[in-house]
Amino acid sequence: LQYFLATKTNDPMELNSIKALLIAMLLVVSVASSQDIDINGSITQTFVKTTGNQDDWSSLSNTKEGSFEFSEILLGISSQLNEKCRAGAQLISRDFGSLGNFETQLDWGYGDYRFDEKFGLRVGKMKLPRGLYNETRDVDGSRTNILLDQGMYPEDWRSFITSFQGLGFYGTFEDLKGPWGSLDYQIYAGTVNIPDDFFFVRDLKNNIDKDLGGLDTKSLMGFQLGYSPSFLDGLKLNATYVSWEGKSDMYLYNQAVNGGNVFNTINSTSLNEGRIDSAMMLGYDSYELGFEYFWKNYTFFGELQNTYTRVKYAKGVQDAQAAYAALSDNDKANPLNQLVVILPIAIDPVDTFAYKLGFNYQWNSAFQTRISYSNFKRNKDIPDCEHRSTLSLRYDINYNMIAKLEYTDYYSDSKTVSDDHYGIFLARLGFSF
Amino acid sequence: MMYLRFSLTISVLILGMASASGEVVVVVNAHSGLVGAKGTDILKIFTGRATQLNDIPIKPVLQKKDRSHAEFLEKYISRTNIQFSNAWKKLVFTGKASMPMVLEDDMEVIREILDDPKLIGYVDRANVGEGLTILDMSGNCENF
Repeated sequence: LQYFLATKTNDPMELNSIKALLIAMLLVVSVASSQDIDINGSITQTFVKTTGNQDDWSSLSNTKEGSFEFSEILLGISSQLNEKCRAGAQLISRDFGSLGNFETQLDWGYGDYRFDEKFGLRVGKMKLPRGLYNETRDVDGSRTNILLDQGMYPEDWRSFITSFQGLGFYGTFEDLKGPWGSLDYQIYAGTVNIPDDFFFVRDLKNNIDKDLGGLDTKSLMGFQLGYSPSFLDGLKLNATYVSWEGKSDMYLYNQAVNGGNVFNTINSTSLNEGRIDSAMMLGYDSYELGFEYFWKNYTFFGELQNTYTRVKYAKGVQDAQAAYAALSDNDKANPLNQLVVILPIAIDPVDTFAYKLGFNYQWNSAFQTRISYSNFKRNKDIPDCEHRSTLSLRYDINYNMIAKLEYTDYYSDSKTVSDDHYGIFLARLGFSF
Repeated sequence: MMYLRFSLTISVLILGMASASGEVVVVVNAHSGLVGAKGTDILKIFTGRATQLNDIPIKPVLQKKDRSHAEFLEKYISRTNIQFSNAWKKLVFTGKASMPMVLEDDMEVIREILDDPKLIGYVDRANVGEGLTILDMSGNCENF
C-alpha cells in the first residue's frame, strides 16, 4: 500500500484519484462485514536481453546490454455482492523501458449485473476482448510464456489496447442441444484514454515541432464470440472484432499561422486560433480468429489476426499538403512551411497480418513447456515477414511463486530492420496471491 | 463477522496429502433445492460461469486433498490441476469471478455444506452421510 501511495505519477489529479480509490477500496473492506471480499495481487520482475538490435520496442531500447526495466505490480479487490451482482477494481503499476515508469493506473474497475445466464451487463473500466489473450495479458500466472506474441500483442501498444471504459453486454448460451455446444458472447462500446507515453503520441510529440493536442478516442466498439462444440470436448473457438477511431487536433505556432502560402491555405479553411480541429482522424479495425484445444496434458492453440489502420486528414491539412507540393524548392526549405507537412508524412495506412501456432505441455504439477511459431507481416501486401520461434519454460515453485525462462528466435525477411536475425532471452520471477 | 478471504489460496492443492479411497462424488445440502443438476451444470459452477442454477444461488468449494481434487477435475471438468487453476486466475484477475473457498478435507467440506445450503463440493462417496445429496452427471439425485 505504501508503494502505491508513493506512486511516481506527476499528475496531482491522477495521484489524488488513485489515493481516493485506494481509500475507497479499504473502506469497502472495512465496512463490508457481511460480504466476502477477495483481494488478489501479483508482482513480476523480468530480465530481458537480446543478441541484436531489436525494433520491436521503441520504449525499451537498451536490450542488447540486458535490462531489468520490465516489472509489473497488480493489486485488486472484488466482491460477489449477491448472486447476480459483483463489483471490483484492480490497480496496475508497471515499468517497461520508458513506458509506465511505475505510475499507478486503474487496470479495471466495474460493476457487473448478471440478469441470467444468457445476459449480463458491465459498466466501468473493463479489459478489452481482443484475440484469445488480450484480456488476460496482465495475468502472468495464467500462462507459460512471458511475452505474448509481439506481432499480435505488441508490448508498446499495451497501455492503449488492454482496457476500455464504457458499457458491455455478455452471456452464455449453454443449453444448445445436440452437437452445438455452448456459445459465449461479449458486445461493448466505449472509449479509451490514451496515455501520453503511448508510443504513437510520444513519437508525434517528439518528432513534430509543435504543441500537439494529444490523441483522443472518438469511438470504440467490438465483440467477442467463443464457441465450444459438444462433439469435441476441450475445443474452444474464438472470434473478436475491435473498431477504434480517434482524432488529434494540431496546433501551430503563431509565427506559423502568419507564415507563408501553405498556412494561408489552412487559414482559409479550418484554422481556428492556431489550431486545426480534428486535423487527423485515425482508426483501426482488427479481426482475430483463434482456437485452443485442451487434450490431456497438452494445450494446442492458434490465432490469426488482421489489423487495418486508417488515417484521414482534415480538408485544411489536405489543402496545405497540396499547397506545399506546389511550392518552389526554396519555399519548401522554409521551416515555417515544413511544419504542416511533417505530420501527414509520418503516418500511412497500414494493413498488418499475423498468425501463430503452438502447444503447451504440462510435464507434472509444477513444470510446463510451451513452443510456438508466429509470422507477422507489417504490410500484408509486401511479402516480407517477421518470424518468431519461441520456447518457454515455467516452473511453479509453489502456487504463489513462478519462475519462467523464455527464448525467442527472431528472423525478418526485410533488410530494412536494425537487425534481421537475433535472439530474445527473458527470465522472470513472479509472485501472486 | 467480517470474512476476508485472500484469493487464490488454492496453493495447497499442490501440497495436499492424499488419503482415503473410493469414488469422488459431487454433493450439496439436501435442503438446497438443487434437483436435476447435470454434469454440464456442475462444470459451469466449478468453472465460474454460473453463480446460480434455476434461480438457486450456489457457490463451489474446493479441497486441498490432491487425490480428491485430481479425480474430481478428471471426472467432471476434464482439465488438469494447472489448467484449472490457470482458468481461475484469469477470472479472478479480470474481475469476473471470486475464487472458491479451499477446504482441508472431506470432513470440512461436509461440515460447511451442512451449514450452508448454497455450497456445492466433492467428497469421497464413503464419507457421504445424512443431510447431503449426491448429484451425478446425468442429473440424478441420491439423498442421504
